[in-house]
Amino acid sequence: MEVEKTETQAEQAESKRYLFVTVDHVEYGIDITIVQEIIVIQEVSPLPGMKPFCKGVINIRGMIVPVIDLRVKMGLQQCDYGENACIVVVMLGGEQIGVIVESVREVLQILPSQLQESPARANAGGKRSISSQIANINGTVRQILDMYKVLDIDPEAEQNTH
Amino acid sequence: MSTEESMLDVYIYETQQLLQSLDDILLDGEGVERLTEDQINEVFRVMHTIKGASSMMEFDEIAEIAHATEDIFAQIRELGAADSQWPPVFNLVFRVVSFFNNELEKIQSAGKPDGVDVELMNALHEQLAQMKSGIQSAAVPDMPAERTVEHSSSADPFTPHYKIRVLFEENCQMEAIRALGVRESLKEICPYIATVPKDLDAADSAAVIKADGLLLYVQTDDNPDEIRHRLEATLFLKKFSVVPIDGSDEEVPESIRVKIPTEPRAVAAESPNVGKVVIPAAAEVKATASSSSGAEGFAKQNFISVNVNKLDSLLNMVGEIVTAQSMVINNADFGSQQHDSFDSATKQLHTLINELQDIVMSIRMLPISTVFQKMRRLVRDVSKKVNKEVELVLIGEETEVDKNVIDSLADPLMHIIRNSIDHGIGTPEERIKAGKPEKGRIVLEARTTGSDVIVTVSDDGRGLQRDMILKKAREKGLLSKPESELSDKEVYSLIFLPGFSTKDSVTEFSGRGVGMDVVRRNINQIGGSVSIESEPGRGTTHIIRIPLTLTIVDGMRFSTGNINFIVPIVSVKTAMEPKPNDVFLDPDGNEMIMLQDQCYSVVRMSNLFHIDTPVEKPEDGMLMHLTSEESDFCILFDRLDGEYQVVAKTLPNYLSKCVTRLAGISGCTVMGDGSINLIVDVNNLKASD
Amino acid sequence: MAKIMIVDDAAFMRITIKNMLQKSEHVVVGEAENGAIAVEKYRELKPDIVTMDITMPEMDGLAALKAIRAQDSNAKVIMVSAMGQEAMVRDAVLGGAKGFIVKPFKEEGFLNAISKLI
Repeated sequence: MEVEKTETQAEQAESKRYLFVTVDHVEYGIDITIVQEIIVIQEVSPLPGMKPFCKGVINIRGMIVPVIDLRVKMGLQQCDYGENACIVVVMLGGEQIGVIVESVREVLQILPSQLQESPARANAGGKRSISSQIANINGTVRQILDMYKVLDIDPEAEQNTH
Repeated sequence: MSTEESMLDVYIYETQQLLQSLDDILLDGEGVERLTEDQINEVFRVMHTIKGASSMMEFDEIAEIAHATEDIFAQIRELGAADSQWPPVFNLVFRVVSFFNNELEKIQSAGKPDGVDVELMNALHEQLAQMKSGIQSAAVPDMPAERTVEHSSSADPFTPHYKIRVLFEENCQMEAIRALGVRESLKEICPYIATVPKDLDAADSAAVIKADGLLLYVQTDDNPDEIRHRLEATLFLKKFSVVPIDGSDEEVPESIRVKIPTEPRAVAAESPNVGKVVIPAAAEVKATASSSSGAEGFAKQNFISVNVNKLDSLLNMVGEIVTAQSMVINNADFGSQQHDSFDSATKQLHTLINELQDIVMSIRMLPISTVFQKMRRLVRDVSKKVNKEVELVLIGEETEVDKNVIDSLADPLMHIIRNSIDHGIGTPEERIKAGKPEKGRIVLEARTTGSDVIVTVSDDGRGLQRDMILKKAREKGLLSKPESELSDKEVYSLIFLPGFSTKDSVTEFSGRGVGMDVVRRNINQIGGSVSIESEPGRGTTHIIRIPLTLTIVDGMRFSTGNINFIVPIVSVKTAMEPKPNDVFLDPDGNEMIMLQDQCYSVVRMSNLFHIDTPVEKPEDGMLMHLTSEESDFCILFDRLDGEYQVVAKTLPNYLSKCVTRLAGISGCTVMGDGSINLIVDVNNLKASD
Repeated sequence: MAKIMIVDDAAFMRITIKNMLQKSEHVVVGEAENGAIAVEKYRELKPDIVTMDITMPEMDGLAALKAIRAQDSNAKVIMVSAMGQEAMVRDAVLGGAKGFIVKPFKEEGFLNAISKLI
């Protein structure tokens, strides 16, 4: 993954890196600090009574990880994934969750100055939108995903162990 | 980890292991009031090892007590012990073990021991003295009785060529034997040697050598540099001088102007055997080793100790391998062409890596016996203290459990057992009056169900006394409902309230924490639960249930639709193919079946879990009769696959947001083909969402 | 730079001695927890020096010393003894041990002893 360097050293210290993925041909950024790894699409074990966005579970080095179809979770129609599809494993609320994306693009370093509040957020009427911010890099605008909201996880919830 | 730390860790670990094996030997032996020859040797060896290691660590008090105990067992080894001497010896050694264990705890928490038990030391010395005085036969001399003839004052004179002076380093110990060593090393080139002091085996020679050094008068045809060469290679030799002398020199003491024949080297082999050592021919070595008697003890087990950090590293490494594997498989260089043989090779690789993973994780599993065995000692000590006779029965020791669980179970179990003996089990008189056997009985059992481990502690004592509990709760202001409204079960659970704590909770055995509330908290911390059942007059049972991240389950695999399940074999009574009309409907429309004149409800897995399946009629599927804590029932599914031993894992919490029903599933497991199957929790299967 | 084999049934002693040697220029080529294993390994490893504990199960240091010396008359074996084992140390010295060291000992004394043998 190439990292595009931007601006001065001082600003760089404040910048954060985001992994950009596509869902339905649109690019979205995910805070890289929650990304554990990216793995190939593999056979998923089904569970009974799965909601449409859940494909089942997979085994990653002994950890049982749920696999979520990001498209469907974001409200889009389910469709077959192309050959570039893979699973991005994120760590939220103490657990690992895998999300299927159409493709993984790149990692970009983004300065605070390049981030703006997403207009969608303002409209949500207090409810958190799945995209809290947008990144404006040299005119190209991309949405940053709030994975907690996407996956319906309360960031304040205690980490539970079974 | 610094070197000092790791040495301390090894010291602590090894000493604990030795003490544990010692406990086992003593408990066995105390029953028959003596120890076998092998056991005596083992105790000796343990004390000897602890002495050596403790002295290296400069834990001198521990070393001295070990030494004193070692001496007693050296005595017993040589000359045996009278019947009357065994009970006090047992008691002493138990005290020594307790002392060591206490000191080890201090070392673990504070880095060093600080106990000094003068009384124990005296008792040990006294015991030894008593045993020695009681024995008539000749004491074993420090030096072997039959000494090889090394000097003979009536030997012929010889003409010495060189005078050698040797000074050993201060405090190098055993100077006389070092002197012997010097003489040995010179024998090859000096056919004649005389020493001052003359008799190196004499009791005072070590002191003389320490003070004045060692003198040797030698005759040799070799170059004296040879002599110097050998002296230089002598350990702990501080300085030496080799000076040619005239044989008739006055300096040469008159008394040794005698020819002293040095015995041929073969004689050295004649030295008496100390102990039962056999010198086997090289080829026989292995046979001797394996046929030697089985002394009990730590060294004999087929285990090695592994640092947990290494295990974690190993696990991580396996993880890296898995990632690397997927990188290979998905390497962009390959493009989208078909690679059949490559694909099958990678599938193979995938299977192997999964297996490797499971094995590595299973290494963290330990049999629960490591915790259970500790309880034996506890039962002995506590029952002795309160003058009750108690028998401990262990069931399911081989149940394997993750290391974390073992670490967290020890304290709660000790507390519960202590309570059972203190309060639960009555005195022998009481028991006889109640028509019970004089000896109280505590049964400690472990078994697995699904991905839980259930540990129960049952005693056949008085049972919980409702009135006494209520009284205490009342006194402590712990009652929130009127007493009459409380069921027995609710009364019993009062003892878990903080502030309740049982009367003798702070005995000398409890180190930290008092009361069942702490027990409950400890168990809750590892995600488990504890409950109590009791029958007044009959006994009390504590039930600890711990859900584990890793348990090995013996299960029966079956499927419904595209979902595979595993049900623990312990819960399966029978499996069968139902015939048409076996399954009928009851008046409420529920499916039922008659098995051996008993009626059981039939639960369809497809209904319960909303799984699509082509199987409609019962006779097209299969039935299993399951037994749970509450009731027996049958499940209807598609296909039975077979028996599998699987490693149970918990399902991620997030799944509760992903599926409509999780009740009845206790966990999952990764099968050999990489697929993940669900483990059925029979107790909760029928629960409604 | 010598190749050393450590023989002792106590893991603690093996680690302690190994640590002492790691700070020197010598190399620990193997360990054994009883005399029988020591004799086997000696054959394989051919160390320059062997440190040999006296009291061990299966086969003690004395027997192992003799077996090793029978294999290799040039074998250099240092006995590691505790106080009170004079008789066995004596036998060992007469049996061809190049010397002995008494527990407890410190690193300096131990390393000096080893260096004398090479």
